[in-house]
Amino acid sequence: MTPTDNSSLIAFICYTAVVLALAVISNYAFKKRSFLSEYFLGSRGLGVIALALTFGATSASAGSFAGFPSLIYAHGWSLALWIASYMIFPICSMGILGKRLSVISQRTGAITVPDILRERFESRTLALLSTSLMAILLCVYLVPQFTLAALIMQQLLGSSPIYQELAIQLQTVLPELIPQTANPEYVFGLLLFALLVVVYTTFGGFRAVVWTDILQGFVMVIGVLLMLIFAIIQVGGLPNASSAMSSMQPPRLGTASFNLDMPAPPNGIRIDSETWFMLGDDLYRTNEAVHILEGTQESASVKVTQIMTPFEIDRITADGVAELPATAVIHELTPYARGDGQSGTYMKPPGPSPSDPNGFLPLGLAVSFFAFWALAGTGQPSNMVRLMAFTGTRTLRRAIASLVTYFLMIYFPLVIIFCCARLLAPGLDHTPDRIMPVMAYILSEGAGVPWLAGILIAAPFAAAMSTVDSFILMISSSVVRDVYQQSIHPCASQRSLKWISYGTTLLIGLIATFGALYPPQFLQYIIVFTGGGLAVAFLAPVALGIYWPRFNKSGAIMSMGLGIIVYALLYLIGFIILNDITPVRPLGLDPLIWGFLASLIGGWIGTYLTGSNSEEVLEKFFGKPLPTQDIS
Amino acid sequence: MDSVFRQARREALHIVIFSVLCMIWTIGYCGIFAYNAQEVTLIWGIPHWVIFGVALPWLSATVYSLWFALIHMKEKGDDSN
Repeated sequence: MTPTDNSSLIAFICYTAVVLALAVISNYAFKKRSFLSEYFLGSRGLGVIALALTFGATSASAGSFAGFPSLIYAHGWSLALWIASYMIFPICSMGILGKRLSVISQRTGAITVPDILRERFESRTLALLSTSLMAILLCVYLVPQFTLAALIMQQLLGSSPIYQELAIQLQTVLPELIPQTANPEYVFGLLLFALLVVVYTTFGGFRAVVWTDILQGFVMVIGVLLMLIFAIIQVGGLPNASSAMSSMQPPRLGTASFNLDMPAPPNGIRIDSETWFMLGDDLYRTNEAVHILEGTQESASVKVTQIMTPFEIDRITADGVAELPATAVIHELTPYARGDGQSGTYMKPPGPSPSDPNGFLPLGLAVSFFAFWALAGTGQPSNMVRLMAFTGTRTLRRAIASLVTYFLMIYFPLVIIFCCARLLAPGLDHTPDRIMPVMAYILSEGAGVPWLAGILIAAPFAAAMSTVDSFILMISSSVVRDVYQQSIHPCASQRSLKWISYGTTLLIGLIATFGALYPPQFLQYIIVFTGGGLAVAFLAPVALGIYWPRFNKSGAIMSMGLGIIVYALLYLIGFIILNDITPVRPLGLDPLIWGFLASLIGGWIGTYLTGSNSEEVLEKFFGKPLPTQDIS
Repeated sequence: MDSVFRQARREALHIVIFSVLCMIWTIGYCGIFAYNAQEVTLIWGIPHWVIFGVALPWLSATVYSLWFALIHMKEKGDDSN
């Protein structure tokens, strides 16, 4: 499954070197500019390509390149409908707020979203509330991003003997650092990723983040297009793949342990993840590596998948399945709650589901997700910040045009690629989060260019980096600008702001790394939860604040508060009642929709119950343009 | 009120209306022809509901977005109305 040479390691090192070089150049090239404006907003100097790609790369998180592919793999063509809202994502997320945010941020000198809220509502409380919400949600958001990045690193470099040796050395030297349940190769990958991202983000600031986003944006689109071509060729054409998918039945997911007749030899016994084995006439695949330690006779329980589709069993066993050095004992096998024993379930919504008898995407949820992506994209503070980092509508217009084309080239091809993955990499249903790197290896080896895996896998890696760096910087900017400079030390020198910014950026990276040492399950759901929470908290207050002159401070606080309370309550009720991360969905609609409606209603009630805004604010935000302010 | 504000508000409303139309097309078509499909026919290897319910509106949205951004959207302060 993975190449045995160090080609991926070499490709990764080259990529890392370029990223670090960009950070160094950024740091030295712009030393003479105002620190905060440069470090957190690149002195508002984004051009068309920079704005489009930093927007696209930040939006296309690790979720897009690990979580989204895993969902396509697990549920089939339904994901085309799930992601369909990305058709309007660019124009909504840039077009609705872009022009206004750009103008207002220049007039007021704002460099963060809480800055805008403080200026608009003349409220330090609101700025602190929004900073706290942003910091908490973004820190939670960062954990699955770090986790996915570490998994990618593990898959990318795990076959390299140097990497394996270093991971074992790390475990030996710092045993207390690595949780007993964690794989040392995962932890080493996590630390490598964290070190790289935190260093270049801390050192290079916003401009380094944008430059690396541009690089990563190109890597992503090239990676996806190459994978599309390879996938279609290797399945023998898309009609062939879809016809085969029409006959597929969902697998059964279970666990198994592996036994020996006698104690394991000195180095123990290892059976790789993704190893096929037969038990009678049944075909299984390991979804985790099996370790039988020295002197013991039984492994820990590992995840396995049983293939249920007859033609797949015939195809995979045609060349024979190797004998294992240990005997498998299946502990449990769970049929899918929807789709078990049915052919064609991968071809149409709602799609198969291991846990939900209504399927993966009931119609109400499809409506929710269509609204969700557009609202979440428009309401993301990370996107809003980018809309404050350019000057001139021409840049915005061309960036929208570039981004809409860019997303068309990324998301729809991903659906095709990972539908093909069901044929090319069957039996990974218990650990679908690994499908992206696995496919990168399969496709590049199938194309006769195994070294290309390093480039292909750089796409999801780049996606994780480009999201993480932006979010770390955004939390840092909010803490430094909105808490320290505005509330604690308004007269802080550039030098002290600089070192506090570096320290905060570093600290946030460390917190996220620590969280990812204990990787959460359901990565995509955590990304959806936090992304939705941010949109609920910020979309209505910002949108109403810049388009509704009557909207006031009480309205903004009620809008933000009520929205996030309703949103969190629906998740909390789901968590308590369903004992899962799945939220309660009244009328089948996602909590984001209800949270957003509550936010609008809260804003309306709060505004009409209290007084209007000051003349100065109305003039600054809605009146004739005032001279641009410098940032101190 | 300044002209950029009025321009931006008009354009934002335009985008919201267009987005709702896209949603009606996609969800409406898929709701009728994908969820209730007895048999999924393929066009170039892609299920028919994906072609007409997702790919076609996606292409239309792309064309609209290009038109909106490159032709319809005004530069700051360029308010002919």
